Amino acid sequence: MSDVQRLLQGKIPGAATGIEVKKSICAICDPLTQCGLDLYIQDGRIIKVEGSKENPYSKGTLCSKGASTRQYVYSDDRIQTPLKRVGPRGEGKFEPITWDEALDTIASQLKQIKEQAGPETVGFFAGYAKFFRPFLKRLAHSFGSPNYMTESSSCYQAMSMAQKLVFGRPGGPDIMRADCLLVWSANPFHANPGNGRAIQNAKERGMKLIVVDPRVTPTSALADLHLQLRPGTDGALALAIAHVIIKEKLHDQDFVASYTYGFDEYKEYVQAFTPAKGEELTGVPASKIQEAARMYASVKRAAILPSASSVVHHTNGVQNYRAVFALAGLTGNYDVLGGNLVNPPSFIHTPGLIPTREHDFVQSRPWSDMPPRIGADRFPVWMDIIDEEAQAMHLPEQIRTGSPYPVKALLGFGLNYRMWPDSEGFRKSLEMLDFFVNVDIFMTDTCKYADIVLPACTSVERSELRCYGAGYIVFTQPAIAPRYQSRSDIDIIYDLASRLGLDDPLFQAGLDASIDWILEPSGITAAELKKHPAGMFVPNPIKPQERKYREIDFATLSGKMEFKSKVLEKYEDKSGHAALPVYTPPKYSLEATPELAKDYPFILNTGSRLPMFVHTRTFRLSWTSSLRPNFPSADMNPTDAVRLGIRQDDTIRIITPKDAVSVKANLTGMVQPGVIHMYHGHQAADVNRLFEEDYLDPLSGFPGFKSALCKVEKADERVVL
Amino acid sequence: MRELSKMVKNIAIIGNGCAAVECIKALRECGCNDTIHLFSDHSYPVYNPMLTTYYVAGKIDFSKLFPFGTNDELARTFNVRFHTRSPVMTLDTTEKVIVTADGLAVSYDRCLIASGASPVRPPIEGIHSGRVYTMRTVEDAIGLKTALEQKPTRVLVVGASMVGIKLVELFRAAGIDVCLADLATHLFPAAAHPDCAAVLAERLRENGVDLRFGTSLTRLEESGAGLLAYFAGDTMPERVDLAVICIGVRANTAFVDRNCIDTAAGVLVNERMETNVHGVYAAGDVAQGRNLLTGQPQIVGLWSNARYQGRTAGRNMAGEHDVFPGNIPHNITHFMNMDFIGIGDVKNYDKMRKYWDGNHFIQLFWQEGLITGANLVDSYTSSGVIRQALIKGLQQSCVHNQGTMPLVQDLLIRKIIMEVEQA
Amino acid sequence: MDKTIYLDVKRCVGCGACVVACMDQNDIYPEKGQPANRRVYQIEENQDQGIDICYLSVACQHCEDSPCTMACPTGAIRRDAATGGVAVNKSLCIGCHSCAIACPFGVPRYDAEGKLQKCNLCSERVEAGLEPACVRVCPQGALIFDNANSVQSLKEAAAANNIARIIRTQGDGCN
Repeated sequence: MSDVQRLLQGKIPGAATGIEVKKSICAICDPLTQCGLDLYIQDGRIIKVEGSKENPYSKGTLCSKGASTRQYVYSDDRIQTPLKRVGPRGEGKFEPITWDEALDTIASQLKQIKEQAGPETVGFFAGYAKFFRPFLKRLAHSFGSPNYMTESSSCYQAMSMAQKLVFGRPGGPDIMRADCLLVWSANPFHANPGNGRAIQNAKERGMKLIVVDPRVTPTSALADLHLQLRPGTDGALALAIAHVIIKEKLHDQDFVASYTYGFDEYKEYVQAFTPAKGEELTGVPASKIQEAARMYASVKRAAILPSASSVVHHTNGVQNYRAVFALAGLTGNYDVLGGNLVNPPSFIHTPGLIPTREHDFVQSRPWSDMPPRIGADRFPVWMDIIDEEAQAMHLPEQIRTGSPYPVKALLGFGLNYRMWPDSEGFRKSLEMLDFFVNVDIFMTDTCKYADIVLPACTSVERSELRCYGAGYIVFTQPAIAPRYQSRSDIDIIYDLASRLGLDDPLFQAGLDASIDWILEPSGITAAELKKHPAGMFVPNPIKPQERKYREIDFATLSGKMEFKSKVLEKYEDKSGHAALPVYTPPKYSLEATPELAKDYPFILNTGSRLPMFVHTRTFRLSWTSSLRPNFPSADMNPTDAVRLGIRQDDTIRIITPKDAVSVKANLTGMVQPGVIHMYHGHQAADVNRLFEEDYLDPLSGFPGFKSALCKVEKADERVVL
Repeated sequence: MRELSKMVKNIAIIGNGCAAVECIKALRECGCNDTIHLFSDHSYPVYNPMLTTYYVAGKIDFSKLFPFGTNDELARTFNVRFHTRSPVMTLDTTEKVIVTADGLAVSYDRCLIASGASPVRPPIEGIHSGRVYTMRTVEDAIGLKTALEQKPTRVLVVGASMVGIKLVELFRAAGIDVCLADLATHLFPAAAHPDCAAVLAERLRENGVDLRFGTSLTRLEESGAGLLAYFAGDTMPERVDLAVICIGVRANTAFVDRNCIDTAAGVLVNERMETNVHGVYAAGDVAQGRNLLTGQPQIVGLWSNARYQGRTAGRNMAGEHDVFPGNIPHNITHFMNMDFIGIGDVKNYDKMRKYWDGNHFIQLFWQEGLITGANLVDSYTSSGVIRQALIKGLQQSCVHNQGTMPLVQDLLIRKIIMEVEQA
Repeated sequence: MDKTIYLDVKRCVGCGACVVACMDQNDIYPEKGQPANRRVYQIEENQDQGIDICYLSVACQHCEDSPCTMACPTGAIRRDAATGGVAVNKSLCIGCHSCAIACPFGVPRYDAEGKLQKCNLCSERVEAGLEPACVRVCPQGALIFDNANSVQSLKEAAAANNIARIIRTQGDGCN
């Protein structure tokens, strides 16, 4: 082989091979810590990807999903042109149309619906990725609709709500400076590898690690202490830990005395949660509860790493997480270095150590100038606490009932009905819409219900602005031309804004001008950012400061950290929301519904991250799916499997009173006996159809995906999936 | 009788197989400058007997039978004096001299016996018919390949061995009807447990192979253009165009004075490949090293075993210290798109676990808490790890382990064993 | 060159990034029946309370005295003089699977033509001064490309660190 052939074989960039390296970021998963991509490009085509070493988060590495970027971009399932539905909804018959025809049709339909039924009857929905969210929110509000919704209706916002109810301003874990990290139901190794690496590094320098998780994970395997609770009992565990901390006087008495509200009632309430009671309620041995309380409370600086969804995917989720976050207040670990430090977000929920005008940009029309958001009646606490968006979990019902007002049209970006509980029910609700547009990279089952489908491009084919907690900022540039006729979601939004004739100067000025406007307080411009395709450190980063509450009150009604929520006090009588972080068992559980549990003896726990999948986004790739053969499958403990005569890869049926799905059995000790865990969103076995539409946390509207009741049967081999 | 110089230190290598060439390589790598004489019955370069069936099947060219290149190349690279077509008649360990068939006498200082093995033909009537073949040597391969040009329609393979199965495969691939016969009651009698053999036999029958087990061939008779093969107790003979006998091999020790050199089935050697006679070593299919499972001497007729033994012999002959502690019987044979693997002892066990899901077959055997045997079908990915598990269990310090990562290995081994135990 | 790829078992979390990066680098497509050069295993062991899990990312270990080389009947598996790794000459491979039973790590897999396919240490990348694709991608720093001595000193440094930590922790306890 000649030298050049060898260089080509190794995909070595340089003049000899004509292979060029271009910079981008990965947005296949979107934890708001996007990994940097080095794209090896030959003749305009990506031939290999690698992590960018410049990226302060990923530092040159990628996960299996990001490493699959090439298959993701070049998938045969990409939507190639705008499409107009020509068959019945769901059949999947479409005709290609031009962008002009598509966008003009959308603009005229939306304008007509707005005139006839009001702007609020048009919903704007953002699924993945998250880069276009500020622009879609502005589009919704400039259009006049309060109904900007996102996938954060089932992820993140309830966790944020719990923190806001306690502290007003959420604080993130300062892992690098913590002496003890309490990971409460997160597995960053499979969801957010940079955090995982930070934990490994901190562990090597001596940080203690406590992991609360019903599952055994690589994170729990690394822990000094793993509290393997029964799903949905997080609140009881947190209260029992608080009991030990208070009893042993390990709490921060100065902080409690000076900066908190409702401590006495809280202290009174946790009296009952002795370690023994904690063990009874959670399954975690009392001795471990004590050990965890001492480990967390006796070090100087301890941080809590929450998860955006696992704890709040319980019908008692927000209350449970309130009890967890109360621990940070109890021990004075809120807004301190090495604790849960408050870092105000700069852009898309992410702190970038720069001031921006994002809020003003996205809230182009104040809430008060618009009708109530979807879910306003049902989830009043959401409307009080969550400023960003409507609660989309109410969307299927409002489409179906037209109450309190009809929803006529949906403009979805990456909308996937499988995100909702009773996904089949929502699929049917979609059929009732007058007009439905979905923008996606791939032709999904949801797109088949749309009147018009628009092809979006991937992150490497577009520009997007992202901030990083390290004080880093990137405005990516397309590394390759968009495939087929696909376009960036942001381009689509700006084009639609124009065709809708919105009187919005920033939409009229274009993306770069909008970014300049958003970043104006930081002094950074789009032109400057374009000179740094891999991103740059921000000039004059805001220095992290602790205990800011000494100068500025907590953003709560009492102005203090609240063991007892003043917001919830308002609803205590009307809605029955307890003002203390009261523990109640999950809506369907052995404790709450013992009769049901007789017939449905297993706890159904769904959606924990697998390292190769993120929601439905990488199922179609052979590289990622090769890492998990025999998928879709459900995890069950080998002891349960032996009892039921189920072997590895046998087909089983998971049955709830609502519905049933058939999947392969995956026997693993990662799940406890008595628990079935199943990944969500798969076309061949969509576990969300097993949940009722209203199986929601009444506080947040979040679905109880992490604990319901089910039974398991070995499927008759003749059953066709 | 001619004599070569007795003044120079000579090393004599009897045989031209892979054990011989590994010995020569090791000698030179260790800096040995002595004169090396190599004696071979034939004039072919080092060949691999296992490749003969691949050659007959047309899967490889003739030249690929010889993985170490030509004799000339070896002679030049390692400075070896080749004596081809020179069968050794006498190895005189008292006088330290070798005498060949054509009268050449060569004195030696150290000698390696690496004369290999030859196929066994049972002493029955008609066994020397020109229509009866064996499959071991280059000549065997050429002979059978020529015979196949006559387009036989039905053949008899005697011996359900690793060679036998490869012959069955190549005959079936050529569209020839095959009868596979063995005195034993199942396939791979030495390496397979009856349960595993049953799985394989089913697959062979699906591939149109007639199996005739538990009966001995008693007589062969030429009849017209073919052969009649008579089996014990059967009145009806098997009518075939040709027969191939592959019931095993026997060590080539005719020139060895059994009064001087300890021999059993082969030449007995210790861990350094030394025989009981100082300066005389043996390696390869003629050498009987230690079976790590039984602790007893056993010939493990494997290409890699011969190479390790040859290399160990060479290092020790060069004055260095090296040991090859022994081996366990193990075989993998890939035929008709399936793999059969036999490792260790599948006959004696006090615990057995079997995994069989219709696609993959794994059977493990234990003795006194140690894994001592395994059978696998279509599970080659586990075979190396299981083999290693056996060896590691039996032998704490194994030369194979040098430079590897024991932790990774231990974990892999545990994973496979757990999977089988849980199944 | 005498560097090879090591796995720090303590840091491996089974994410599979290495497996995919290898497939991307080497244009391996499972849907075409092409096997991966690297595999990740999850190992679960029952303990008194629950289970222990650990992960292994395994590809060719490029053993110093490679058993596959000795077992190969055709000489298709040899040491590559340039990289010091174990290399395959596919034109010689007859697909006999002898290397499968020889390899203590269960590494050998066979391509659509039945020939041995395995890690070549990313030799072209390494010659160009780059790390092997799997090492470069690893988000946990579990895969290390270095020579044996350096890896040994890394491990010793880590061990020393641990000892220091234990002393420190115990010291704290006494205060």
